[in-house]
Amino acid sequence: MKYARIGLYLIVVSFPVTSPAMAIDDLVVSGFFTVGATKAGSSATTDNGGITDDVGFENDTRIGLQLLTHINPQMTMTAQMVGRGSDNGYAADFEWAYIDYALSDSFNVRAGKLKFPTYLISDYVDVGYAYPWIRPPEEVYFSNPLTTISGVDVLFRTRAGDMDLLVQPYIGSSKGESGIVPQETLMGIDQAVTNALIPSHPLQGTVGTVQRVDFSAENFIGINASIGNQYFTARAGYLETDVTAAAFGVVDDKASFGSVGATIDWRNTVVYSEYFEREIQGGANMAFPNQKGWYTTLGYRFGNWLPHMTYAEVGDNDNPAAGCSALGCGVPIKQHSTAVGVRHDFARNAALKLEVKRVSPDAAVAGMPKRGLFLTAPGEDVNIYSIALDTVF
Amino acid sequence: MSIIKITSIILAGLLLVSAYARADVAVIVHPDNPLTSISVDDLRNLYLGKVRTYPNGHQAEIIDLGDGTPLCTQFYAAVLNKTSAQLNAYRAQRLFSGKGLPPNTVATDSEAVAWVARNPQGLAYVDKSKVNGDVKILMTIQ
Repeated sequence: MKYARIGLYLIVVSFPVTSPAMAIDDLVVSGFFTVGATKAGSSATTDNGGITDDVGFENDTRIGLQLLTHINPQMTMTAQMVGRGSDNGYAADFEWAYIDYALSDSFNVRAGKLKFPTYLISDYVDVGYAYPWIRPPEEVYFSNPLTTISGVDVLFRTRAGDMDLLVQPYIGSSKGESGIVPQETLMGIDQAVTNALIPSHPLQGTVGTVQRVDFSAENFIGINASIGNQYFTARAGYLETDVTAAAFGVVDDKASFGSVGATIDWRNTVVYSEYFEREIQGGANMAFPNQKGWYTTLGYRFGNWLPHMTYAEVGDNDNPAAGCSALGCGVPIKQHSTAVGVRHDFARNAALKLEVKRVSPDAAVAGMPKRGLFLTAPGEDVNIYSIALDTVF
Repeated sequence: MSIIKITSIILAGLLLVSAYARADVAVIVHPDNPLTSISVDDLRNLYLGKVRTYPNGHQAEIIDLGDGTPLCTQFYAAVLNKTSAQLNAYRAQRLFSGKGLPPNTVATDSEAVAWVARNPQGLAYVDKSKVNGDVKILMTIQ
């Protein structure tokens, strides 16, 4: 990988020993860039608003820029900014901004804004170049709208035989993030009835619109553990947080995620598989009901070509039928999909990817609209066509 | 195009590939480094960023050759069991999740030799024909 080291030796030269705090050793500049286009084969819009039946670039196009500087041999500072498309155009955010202190070769403490690992590739999910698909299967990766915490994590890494072990506890809060409310919520209930019943409820509105609600997640605590060698990695994770959304009347509702996953890259065979369970109590369950899901991806490398296929499924995780809030409980999402794709590493730091995903939305409860991860029930299976170009620099 | 012509092009291609494969790669360190040999596993762990020390516990500084050179492709295949693309993806995973920086690179073998000659903790891999008396060979990969 090519990246630039810009020496700031002037400072060191000018103040050779007097001020070690100013001895900024170097600045490492690196980044990643994905340009992606999507199109749904029939009249349907995904519930993040990103994919429609028009060719669109907003869903997958993004650029990241990372700056890292050594403060001293033990300490580094890192900032990573990611600009991406949204329904309001393009905007940039800090995804990472932290100080890393290495207590030893196997023990790092990081503090600041951090991406936390709900799943296998969560902490580099913006870096398309780093994984086979154009985007990881939505049936699993949609489930946690939070991706960063302000807090602290610890990377404890050690080796046993030829195995690498990682234990990564993290703690913090996720404030001011704007979550997408997928409207599983009132889908089962007649919207007109709901609007009349609770006139001030923020989920008022028209079925089929994207609604956004600011919420905070306090007492965020989690752990990620993995074991692996050069051919495979297996991981497990668990996290808990208390969700508050004032506009919603949601105060400190407990949310938890458990997940296991594994990936194999052995003799040209590539496998990814993950499973998760989500549980959310109280009023927050209206927007984020209990779900579970899984996917498996199989691929085989032919030189610089990696064709792959994925089956993915999301469904009900014993969501309670009543008792969550005045409106009852949320209605879980149910859908399954099959996808085929290919990654072609056509240049040193660039990959071209093509994918076709056939999504079959279903009704979690009989009689309700078969909406899946779409804004409104498409009434049929939907093919989603995607093409993307990923680079790192 | 005749079958014979196609066959001879393929054969010429294979010969070129095997010519690369026969280039001897020397793993070199500073002459003051007390090590006399190193295992493929230790080398792999160094280049994958999993360890930062030599087997004797001394701090190691490694340098990589510019991505895409035939020599680095050969080294990645023989020692890391990875193609350039696989290694780049692995390094991107680590770099952008704050788990480790990729090694520094130099553009040519001669620069790598000169760099190791200046760095008592240094380790590099180069074309064996570029090795001079300023560095010590720990391992040769054919």
